[in-house]
Amino acid sequence: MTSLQLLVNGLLLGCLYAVIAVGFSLVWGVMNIINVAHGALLMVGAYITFWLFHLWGVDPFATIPVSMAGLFVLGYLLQRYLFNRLVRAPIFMTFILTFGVALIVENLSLYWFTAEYRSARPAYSSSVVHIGGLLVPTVRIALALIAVALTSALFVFMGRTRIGLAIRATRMNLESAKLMGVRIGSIYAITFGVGAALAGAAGSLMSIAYVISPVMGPPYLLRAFTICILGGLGNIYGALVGGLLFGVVESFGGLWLGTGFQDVIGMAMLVLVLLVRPSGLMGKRFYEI
Amino acid sequence: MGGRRQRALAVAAAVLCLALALAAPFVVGRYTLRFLTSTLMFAGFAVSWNILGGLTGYFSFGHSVFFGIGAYAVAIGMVKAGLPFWVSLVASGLAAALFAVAIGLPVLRLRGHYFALVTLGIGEVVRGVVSNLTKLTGGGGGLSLPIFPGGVDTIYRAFYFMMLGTLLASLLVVYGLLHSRIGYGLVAIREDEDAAQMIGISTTAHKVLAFALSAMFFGVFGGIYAYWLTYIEPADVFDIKISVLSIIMTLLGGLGTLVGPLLGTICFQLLSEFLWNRLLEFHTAFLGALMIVIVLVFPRGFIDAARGGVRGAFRRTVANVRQFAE
Amino acid sequence: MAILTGRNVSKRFGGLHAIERLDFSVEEGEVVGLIGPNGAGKTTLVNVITGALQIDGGEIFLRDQRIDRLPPHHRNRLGIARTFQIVRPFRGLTVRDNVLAGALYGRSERHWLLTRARERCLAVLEQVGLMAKADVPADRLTVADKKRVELARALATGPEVLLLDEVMSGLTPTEVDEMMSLVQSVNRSGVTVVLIEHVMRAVMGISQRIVVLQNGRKLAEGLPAAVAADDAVITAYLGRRAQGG
Repeated sequence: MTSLQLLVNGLLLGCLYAVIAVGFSLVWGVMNIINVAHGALLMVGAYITFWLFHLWGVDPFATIPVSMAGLFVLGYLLQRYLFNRLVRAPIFMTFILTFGVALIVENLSLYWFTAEYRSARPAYSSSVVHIGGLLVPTVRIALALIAVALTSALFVFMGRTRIGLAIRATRMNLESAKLMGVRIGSIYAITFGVGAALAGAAGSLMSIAYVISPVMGPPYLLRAFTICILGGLGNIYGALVGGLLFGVVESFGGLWLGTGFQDVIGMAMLVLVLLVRPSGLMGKRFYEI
Repeated sequence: MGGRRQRALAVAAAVLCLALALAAPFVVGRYTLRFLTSTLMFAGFAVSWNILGGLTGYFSFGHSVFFGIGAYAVAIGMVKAGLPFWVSLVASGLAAALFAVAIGLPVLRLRGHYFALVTLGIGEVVRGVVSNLTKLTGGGGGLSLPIFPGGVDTIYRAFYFMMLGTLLASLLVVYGLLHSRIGYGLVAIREDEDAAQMIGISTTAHKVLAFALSAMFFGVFGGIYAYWLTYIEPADVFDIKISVLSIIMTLLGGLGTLVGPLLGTICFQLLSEFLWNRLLEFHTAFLGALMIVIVLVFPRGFIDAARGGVRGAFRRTVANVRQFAE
Repeated sequence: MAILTGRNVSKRFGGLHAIERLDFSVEEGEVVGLIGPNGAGKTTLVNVITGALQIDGGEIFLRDQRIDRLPPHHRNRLGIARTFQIVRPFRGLTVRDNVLAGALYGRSERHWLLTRARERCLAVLEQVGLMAKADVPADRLTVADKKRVELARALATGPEVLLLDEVMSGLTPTEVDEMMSLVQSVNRSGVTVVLIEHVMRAVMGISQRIVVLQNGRKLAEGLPAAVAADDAVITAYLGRRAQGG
């Protein structure tokens, strides 16, 4: 495995991580909610894709919009009717609340889907592309491209649409936003829905190239957390850069430490960054595009 | 007047409970004895976790890591190094405490949710590492331990008393803290860490001590558990449920009090036995639902709600529920 | 004898120079008033002296011991205490426990046994006038009493220098009078006081010397009457040259 191959693998994986992190970062930055259920939501998206593929032969790529829509609705409802109660509570209470939701979702999934490892690998997934001595599975390129597209879509959404602006306004100055007629409860619900939809999309992407199981969530949650810290809280560019960086480090680290110890890399990075530079590598603390 | 009488009643109640606890193994059946032994262990979790959580205000979501370290310390000590149980048990407490100091120094610099999530992460990571160190730890397949000598009843009673002893030790430690200078330091840190520094409290040293103490007890419980079950594997002893249970039981009963975690555990165990032990597959989901309910309805636990007497507690519960339903 | 000195002290927040090469000196036993417009760097100065923030340049001395590299709790043990601009007692604890916490930690007499600390605690409660409310939880007190609790807690640590950050703010005129006499009695008992204030009546009334800060620099220094008449000071507060008459 040449270094270049590792680098490319890392970057491709990093794009996926970026999507996971960006959704997490959005919810945290806007509503100060650490969504411990983010991994569980990702898992639900993965299974939506899997079951559509497995039961009805739907092409996995085509299931992504379905998974995103489904997770948006789930996220919206969760925020609207449950998490909105505690937005002004100490952040720790929402931590426990989302944790409880995560436990429920994971347990139910474990019961309904069983613990077997699954994957939604379509028939064409074995094709590879040769680029200058590197072997890259076409599917992974497609996943990375979709991931980049989603992240870009989020930028556009936040920067150009009315709802996006309302969300940013709410973050920057809650009182003023209220005075300008922004309906905070809905905005929060929409924001969480968007975050959930991104998690769902990431899960769908994961199920195409990797194996999934009902307990797949927590490692991705921790990665999302680490990446957000790396990239600076609520900073979308930061989550993107952090995701890519994380993917590369994991790729090289996996070679050096062996796959069983990959999680250690993430944790070590997290602890290191938290100790040395809590505001992240990009240095910005508040939500900024 | 009320204070002295209250204290006398409390002491009498404690003595009574202790007497019952000591007599129980000779009176109840085996199933109940196992249930009580588990309950004692859970109570120990809650009381020990509370040292860092309730008293100092640092909520750890990864205390299962210390339980697991303790379990493996005893397992490896007895199986690989041929040490007797008691020696291995001391090692389990020490190993857990040392690990706590090692990770505590960097990690306790973080506050609130950062700390919580990092401890969660460390728990996951250690589990993964232990699963992969197959030569030393038996990897995912786990380790088998020798069986405690003696007949079935002797075994049941022995482990009951081991758990009881450790629980009593942890209660003594908490009592000691609450009535000592260090305890004031911890509580001050919980209330306002910056202000605590400004009045001369060495916050890092205090936090690390609380972390190490609570970790040590978890380690010892883990060690006893390993010998009790005679078989351990990473998924079991590093199970996140251990951390979650500790938190739930302490929240149920009241953070930062001596008796709160005990009450919370009893309450939880009763609920658990009569509600969902029949539905083991949904155990975790019930825990999740319980966490949600507690946070929404009783953010401070029963003891705080009960401060105004039974009627006050009821009124407050209704107010909380009404607030949620609106 | 100067008890607290700072030489060339600087503190930056990104591009903002909160304190800019400041020299200061506090004589033992005096009451020094520290005034200046908002954003002058007064609270930042308290923060760097007590160790809540690290300085970017210069040195700070307690008597002849350099303290700017020491952690906050160590500085308190050497004899520096403070109150906060936005009052921060330990809310979940009673008045007594708040003060007891201070008595247990802080300077010299490390009261390992609760009994000794309890004696000191009672003495401080008496001095500050909170004996009657000793068992009231701190979050149920009025603002004025919360400030007293914080003051008592700081006093219980046995400081030589007490930095009071806007301890008069939010008080009624009567409460200001009470606080003024309390601060004076604390000073008479041997504690050097640095009083950061906006309430001019109070700071001018009890300070022996005034230091004026603006934009992190010393603008003026001297007797209260002289400082009050200083043109630069008036301009800093009012924004224009005061006309005669």
